[in-house]
Amino acid sequence: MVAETLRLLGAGARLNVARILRTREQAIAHTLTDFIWHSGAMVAPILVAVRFGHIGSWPVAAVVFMLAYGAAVSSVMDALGDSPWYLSQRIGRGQLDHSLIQPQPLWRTLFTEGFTPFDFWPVLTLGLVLMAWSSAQLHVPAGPGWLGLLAFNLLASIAVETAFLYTWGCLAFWAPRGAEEVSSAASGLIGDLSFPLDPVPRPLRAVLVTAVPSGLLSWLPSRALLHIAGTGALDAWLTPLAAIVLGAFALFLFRLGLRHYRRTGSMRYTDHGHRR
Amino acid sequence: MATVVELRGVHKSFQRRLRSSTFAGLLRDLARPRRETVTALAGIDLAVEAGEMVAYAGPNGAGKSTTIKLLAGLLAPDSGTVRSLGVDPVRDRVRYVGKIGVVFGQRTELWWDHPVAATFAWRKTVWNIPDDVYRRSLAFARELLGLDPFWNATARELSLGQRMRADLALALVGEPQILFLDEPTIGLDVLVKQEVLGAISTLSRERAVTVMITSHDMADLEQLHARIVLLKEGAIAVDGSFDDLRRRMGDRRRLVLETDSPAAPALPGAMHLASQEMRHEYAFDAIATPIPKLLAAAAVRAHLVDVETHRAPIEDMIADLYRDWRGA
Repeated sequence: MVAETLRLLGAGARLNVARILRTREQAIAHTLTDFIWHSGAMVAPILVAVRFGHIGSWPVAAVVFMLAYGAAVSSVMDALGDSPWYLSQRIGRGQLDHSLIQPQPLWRTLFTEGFTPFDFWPVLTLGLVLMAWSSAQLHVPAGPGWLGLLAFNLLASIAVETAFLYTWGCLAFWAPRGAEEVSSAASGLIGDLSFPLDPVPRPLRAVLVTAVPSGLLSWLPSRALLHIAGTGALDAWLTPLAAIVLGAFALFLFRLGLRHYRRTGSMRYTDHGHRR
Repeated sequence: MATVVELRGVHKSFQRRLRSSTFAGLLRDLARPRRETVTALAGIDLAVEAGEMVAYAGPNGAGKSTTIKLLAGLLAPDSGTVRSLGVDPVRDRVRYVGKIGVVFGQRTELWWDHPVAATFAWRKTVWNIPDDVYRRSLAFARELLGLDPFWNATARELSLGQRMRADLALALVGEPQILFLDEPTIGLDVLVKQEVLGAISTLSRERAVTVMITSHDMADLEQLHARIVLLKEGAIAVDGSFDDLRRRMGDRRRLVLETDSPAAPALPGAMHLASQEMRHEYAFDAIATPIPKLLAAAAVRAHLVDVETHRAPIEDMIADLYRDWRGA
């Protein structure tokens, strides 16, 4: 299973390299734009933290760590390709048929198709370098256990975002036209949390780590990993736990939607139906 | 020969919501939505033998695409059984779709921003096609469909005809046992259409691939010398050869008389269709009105300069059939 998945990711990576080499001017411009966009998003909170020496109980280096963590998550999400961002489009436009005629389990097709690891490595590199720098500044004991927990949280944050986008994207099974753009709208709702949430009122903070889990994409895991004041001993396991719960919910919804799709297909008889 | 596709008592219907055009009606629909059932397939029984070419035709909404989707594992029937290559296409999808090729005329499987060659290489990986099978089937498909001139062009640069040829070739890579072609000639010009149909014919003749093809273009389908399965409102109305269909519809023919007068002579047993200067065209059934008898009648009624007879185009026959169905 793993070997087959890696083989398909390899096929995506080869297409990605080929496209970059073929359209090098555009590829450079694209990568540079992406790099500037992500770096630019980090500047404002860092400047605020530098001006005041901290944001709440977060020192400057911790703010940098959080932003770098977020950039790493978002770069991996981008590298995973179209599937989470455009699931509703894929369903709404009847393009799921293309996936279903491939002799692969659907999860593997969705996971591997459109894999573009070479478009987003600059942002990932930036994120990893800044995380290393900031954790050194904070004198975090970055032993194997801590690094393992960091990797586990990064994966969990990616899973949370994917599950959130899939949950919304599944709406397109029942309302293919009305919800065609819901995945990209949902990504706008959850993405790019630039400031620590500590000063935010508790009810709103609760929303931001549950219903709209932006806080799980960088704030909560960074807070737990850096042991910011007020962090509980088990906080580093909250994001992985949330990933399991949200992932299970998204999977349940997706399977329900797929069963509906098997009954109705992408066809013209539904009044809110798929494009032809 | 072995049966490779079998549909037994297959029903498939869809719900369609009815809409009002008045404001009051819209409010009423909001509170109590009204739906109607659209029957796409009403108890289809069909068996296709290995190596057979089946032309699956019928008016719009007859259930052609629904059948192809059922057989491609994209849709489950409401009731009845669908078996293809001995398996249930939905339950055994992953194993099954590796053995078939599917082409949707209105969509493409090609990677839009990549050269045609890249999509083929990608397919080899995803379909897990062994090297020798890939090399053999690719060489065959490239030659059969003439892909070389645009092999390195990106899909977005291709004309519709080139795209369809590439899509068809893509479906052939890996040597599928069955090919499902849903309107593969839609929108193609005459020349490309001939090339695509020629390729499908060759494929069936030389490789004994089972082909199920849908099209609105009956002349295309007749050209393939396929078994014709004609659907009417989700049920099979005709299943046989095109010759059977012609016999069933009567030996419909056309007679063109060139006379020395612009007035078309009235001929018993023939219906005057059109006149152009001194040329007059008639439709007749050669079984009810034998040709010698008709010509003798024509010779009595007009001074004949030239005479032509030919079979009525299949399109006209099918149009008459559809009209009969609609009127029934």
